[in-house]
This record gives sequence, C-alpha cells and structure tokens, in this order.
Amino acid sequence: MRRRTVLAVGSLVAGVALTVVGLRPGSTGAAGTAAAVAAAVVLVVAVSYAVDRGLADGDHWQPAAQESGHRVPVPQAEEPEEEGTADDDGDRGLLRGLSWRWILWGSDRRGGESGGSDRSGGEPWGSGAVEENADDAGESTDGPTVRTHVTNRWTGVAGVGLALAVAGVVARTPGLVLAGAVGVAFAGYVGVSEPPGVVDPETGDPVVTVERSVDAASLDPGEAVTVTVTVRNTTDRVLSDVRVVDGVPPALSVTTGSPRHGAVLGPADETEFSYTVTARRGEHDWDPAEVVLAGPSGAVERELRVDVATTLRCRPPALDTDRLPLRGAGTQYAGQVETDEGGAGIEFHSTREYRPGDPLSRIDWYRRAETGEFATLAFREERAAKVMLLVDSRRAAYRAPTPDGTHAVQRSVDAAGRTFTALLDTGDRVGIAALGRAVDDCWLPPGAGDDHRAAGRELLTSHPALSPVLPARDFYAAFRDDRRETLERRLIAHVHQRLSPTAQVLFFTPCCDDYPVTVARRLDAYGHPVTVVSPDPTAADTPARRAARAARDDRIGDLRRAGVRVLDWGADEPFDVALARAEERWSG
Amino acid sequence: MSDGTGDHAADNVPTDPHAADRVTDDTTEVPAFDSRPTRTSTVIAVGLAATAALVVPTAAARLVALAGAAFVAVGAVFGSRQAASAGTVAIVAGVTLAGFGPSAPGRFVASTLFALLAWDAAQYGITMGEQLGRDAATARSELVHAAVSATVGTVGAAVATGTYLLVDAADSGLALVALLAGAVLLVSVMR
Repeated sequence: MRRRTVLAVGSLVAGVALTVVGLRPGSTGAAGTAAAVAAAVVLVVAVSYAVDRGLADGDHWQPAAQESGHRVPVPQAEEPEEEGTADDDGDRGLLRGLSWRWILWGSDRRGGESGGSDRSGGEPWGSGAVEENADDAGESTDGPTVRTHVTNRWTGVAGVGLALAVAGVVARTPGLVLAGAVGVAFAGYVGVSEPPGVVDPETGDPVVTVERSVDAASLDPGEAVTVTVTVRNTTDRVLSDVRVVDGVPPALSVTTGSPRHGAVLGPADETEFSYTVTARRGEHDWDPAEVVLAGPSGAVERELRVDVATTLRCRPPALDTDRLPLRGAGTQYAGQVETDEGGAGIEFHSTREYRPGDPLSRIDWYRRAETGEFATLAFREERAAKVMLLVDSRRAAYRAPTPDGTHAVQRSVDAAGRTFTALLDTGDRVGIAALGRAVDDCWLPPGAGDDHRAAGRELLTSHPALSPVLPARDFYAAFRDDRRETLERRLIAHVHQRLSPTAQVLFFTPCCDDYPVTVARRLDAYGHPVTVVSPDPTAADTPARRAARAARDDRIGDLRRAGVRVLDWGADEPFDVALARAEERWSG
Repeated sequence: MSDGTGDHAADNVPTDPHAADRVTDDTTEVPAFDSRPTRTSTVIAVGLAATAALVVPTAAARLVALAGAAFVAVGAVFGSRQAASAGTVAIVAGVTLAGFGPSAPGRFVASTLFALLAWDAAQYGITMGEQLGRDAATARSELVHAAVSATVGTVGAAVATGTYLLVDAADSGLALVALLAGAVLLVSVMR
C-alpha cells in the first residue's frame, strides 16, 4: 500500500509540473498541447486514486447472487476446505493515510468507522453499514431490521464547487464562480435531502409490502415455475427509488427473467415483476426479499428485509421399473427377484417327484404320457426383495462437475426416489436411509403400501438430512482424526444393526472419498448384498481434477474386485441408460 | 437435456422411460447475473460527459476536458467509479483552465453542470448494475433519478446566474464575494 501511495503522490506532482510546463505563456503549438494532454492524463490517474480510494470509499451494498443457486466443490486431488467465498478486495484504502478528507474538510468527517451513532439523521459523510432498529422512537421492539448504507457518492462535490469558486476569484472570472455554485448547489441538495423512511413511524410496519406468488406450489423436478412478486407502496408519499432483490432459495436457479427489480412508486402504487426458476427436488423456502429504498440523491440507501413465506415443494420423480439392479435374495413375498429356489414362476428350474396337492397345471404331462409317472415341474421362484436405499449425504458427497452443476447428492436422491416407487410397484419392500448427518432421524424401514410410499416420497422431498444445499460443516469435523475414524466405523456397524438381516442395500454415493468404499465392503461382508450406484461428479479440466477422477476410478475398481456391484453413472448419462449398461455388464 | 418436464403423475410409472431422465440430468444453462452498469444511465452519462467537454470554451482546455470525458465514458461503461470520478475532475479541471481566458459565464456553468450530472448518472448506473443488474427493469428509476438531479443542478445554476446578472457588479467583485460567502455558508450549514 505504501508503494502505491508514493506512486499516486508522485504522479500528482508530475501532473502538476507537466501542467505548469504545458500552460506557461511561452509554450505554444504541438509541444504545449502534448504536455497539457499528458498532464491531464497523469492528473486524472492521480486524482482517481485520491477521489475513489481515499475519499469516496463509500459503502456500496451488493446483494448476494440469487440467480445461480448455491455452489458445491468440484472433486480434485486436494479437496478444498471452502468453496465460493470470494475474497474481499484487500487492497482498498490507498491514500487513506493522506486523509484527503482532512485536507478538504478540516477534520475527519467519517466520524469513526465503528459507526455506533444513530445515522438516521442522514449524515452523508459517514461510511459503513449501520444497523438500527426500525422503530425510530428508540424503543427496542422486534420490528424489521434496517441497514443504512452511506454511499458517499456525492463526496467531493462541495470541494469541486469551492475549488472552482476559488479559481474564479483568483482568475477574476465570474463564470467560474458561478460554475462553482453549481457544485455547491449539489452539495446542499445532498445535505438537505432526507434519507427515505423505510418504516411507518406510527405502526412500525415497512413502507413497502411484498407479495410473492408461485404458479405451482408442488411439482416435479425440472419443471419451470413462474414466480410473480408484487411490491406495493403503503404510504401516501412518492418512493422515488425502490430496489427489490428477491430471496430465491439457494438450491434453485433462475432460468429466465431477473429476481431483481427497480421501480418508482407513487402513493399506494404497486409494481409487479416475475421470473422463472427451474424446480429441483426438495422443499425450498424463499429468503426474505431485500428492499432498498434510496432518496432521489442516492446518498443514503436503506435496506430492509421483508419476510414473505413462500415454499415450493418438488418431489423426486418415479422410474420405469424393468431394469433394476437387485441382487438375488428375497423375502417370502412374491416379486421380481429370481431366486435359485424352485417353485411357482415362469422360467424352468427343475422337475421333482409328484407330491399330493401339487397343482394340476404344474404336473409334467409329457412325462406322464411317456413313462406313466407323475412328476412336477418346478419353476424358478420370483420373490420380492427387501431393499434398503442408502443415500450418502455426507458433506463429502456434495460434489458436482461444475460448481453450479447438479451435485451427486441431488442425483442420488433423484435416483433413489425413482427406484423407490419402481420397486414398490413391483411388490418389493423398500426402505430409505441417509448415511450422513443424522442416520437415525432419516431412516425409513423397508415396507410397502400406499402410506409407506407417501412417507418415503415425503422423506426424499423434504428431509433436512437430504437437503439439496451443502451442509454448513462436516458432521465429524469437530473430532480428532482417530476419534473420527472410530465414529465412522461405528456408524457402519450401527447401520448394519438397524438393517434387517435379509435386506439388500442399494448404496447411492459418488465415491469421492474412501469411506463409502469401506461402508459398501463392510455391509457386503455382513451379509447384505450391496449394489453401489455411483453418480460421477468428477471433471477432467485440470490435473487436480483428473487425479480425483482417477482416484474415484480406483475406488470403483476396488469395489468391483471385492465383489460389490457398481453402477458407475456418468454425469451426462440418463439413469436409465446407465442402468441398461450396468445390466448388460452384470448379466454378461 | 434442457428443461424437460416430468410428464408423469408423481406416483405412476411414466409411459416414456426417458421422460424422467431429462429431469435428473438436466444441465439447464443458467444465465449468470450481469452486474455491468445499466444501459440507460450509461448512455446518459456518456452523452452528458461528451457535451460537457465540448462546451468548454478554449481549445486547450477542451482537450483536457475531452480526456476527462473519455474517462467518464470508460467508467460508465465498464463500471469503475474511480474512472468516472477522475474523469469528472478532469472535465472540471478543463473548465478551470478555460477560466483563465475570457469567455461568457454561461459556458462554464453549463459545462460544470453537465460534468456533475454525467458523474451522477455514471455512478447511479454502476450502483444499479451492482444491485439489480442489467436484466432487471431499471430504466424508469434511472430516468427519474437523472431528471431529479438535472432539475436540482439547473435550479442551482439558474439561481446563481440570476443573482449574478441581477447584482451586475462586474468591477466591484461584490457578487463574487457574496456568492462565495453564500457557498461557504451553505456548506457549513449542510455539515
């Protein structure tokens, strides 16, 4: 910073010197003009630092990005600790030590950056957001929180005016003094213009109300939903500058339109805007709409959060049932898993001696005709499976090929949802569990029936353990490494204990770390046939990401060598296609 | 794989097995938030800055002011408050330079007024771009803002010029002193 300060001061001095050279009476023609232009450019550069960095370092409020949904890490060799925290501009405040403010105003008008005083009087020189209670009477009520942003966008205009006036006096040019008066007029305007009131002084209600309507409150993933927001001025004054940024749920992304709007609202006026979001699986609550009111001068912006409860529910889709990678172990119920036991079925299994009571349709009449003996045909029995859909929803599973892409947990839950309904349709008994934050909370034992179906869809739609938004921190992050390993091992044993002994496991995991491999192998070893469905979240655009992809391939190879069936589900591949491909591999 | 719609009832098996797949694997292109300065204010700022520079009386000073106008334009288009502010200062510096030669007072006043309005519009466009973006409907707010600022500036300029013409004390310098004193007073009150 010091180096840049020296640079700025140096260029300032050089600019002044060049100006003197360029404008001295003797110099005329090209040389003089060139010097003047060079001087102007150098001065502009110098002043630009002084004006914007040192002087008018206002509080420029910027709302968080609403459009693109939340971001998740892309798998790479060294997993990032945090993603998406754009580092602040750490290089501000050049010339701060010089205090141009002091030169122009005689004292530091910033009034301390702690900003503890009440700025509702509208001191345009302060900086930094000031949070204050909306209730101007000073009582602490639970009214809406108002943040005041002092933009400092007019800082220096009085200085410009005074400088012009002084130059006019020195040069004895009335026009310059009059020009200075324009600058001073603007400064006076900014000084007297009041910051807009954001709450009704009597009732404490916000002066604007926001209504939000969603054209379908419940729908399937991928459908477009139009959100219409109405902003109404409840006062009898004109609100000259109303800016609204709607709080789009983090997991949704805006596809058309903009969730932001600027308006001028007359008394009791209202304005409407709409945008479209693409629904994703889950239960999505809208954040409060952020409303910024600014006076006509724009020197002070007041930010208000208006909470409007809106929820969009989006259930995971269903799936065609034919191709499901169930393994050969069943329950006593009839179903679609082909077992090695003979009985009633379709495919021929064996013949055995006739026993009284065997159905007539299964008697082998050809043999009776040939040899005169009764025999009974046995067919391969098809039984219902008991299946546990285990979804890896640990923090490490929230990975996507691009930071704003569909992440592996989302894909896992979608696939689990389809599998769930498809298996129920074929009479299998299915349960759902999340391997992650709260395995006991999110545990639906295998069952059947309409109630069970509804419960399962509800759990997949809105259970917080399967949230489409990346959890704030890893469940085990607080523990030491060895303790963590113990707990993770214990979790596997716990899952095994809760699983019914005959249940097979469909384990949905991106396999981005070693833990899912351990889970799958152990559960397999405990006697639950495990099939891993692994949505691939890896990318190959950087060496670190290619390394992560290779590591994942290795893990999948390990699983396959250990006898666990793995469905490697590519990022661009429909689930059905991946299933069909896997089916071929497994039957072949 | 664009925004496919799940064309099946939630609990039924879909007739088209691939219909459901469009859902999970959709990679809908999400338009990124465009935080560039909003168009209306940018146009206003560039236009006013150019006018301000062209109104500057003498040729050498006009060059300086044009350089400033270019900076304002760059700031307004690319969203740099720094450049916009610096450009405004440069235009005003051009006006000051011109003030050391003889000219009608009106041109100084007009140039300064336009320069400050351009500065205001550029900053407003940048702010609106940061907060609401180019895709939001902001034109009406921008026009109202520009109109209010223009009114304030014009009234200020008219009052000052009117006073000057009314007092008509070119040789005594009384009007200048009165204006200057008034200006200082105003600023001190404002603080």
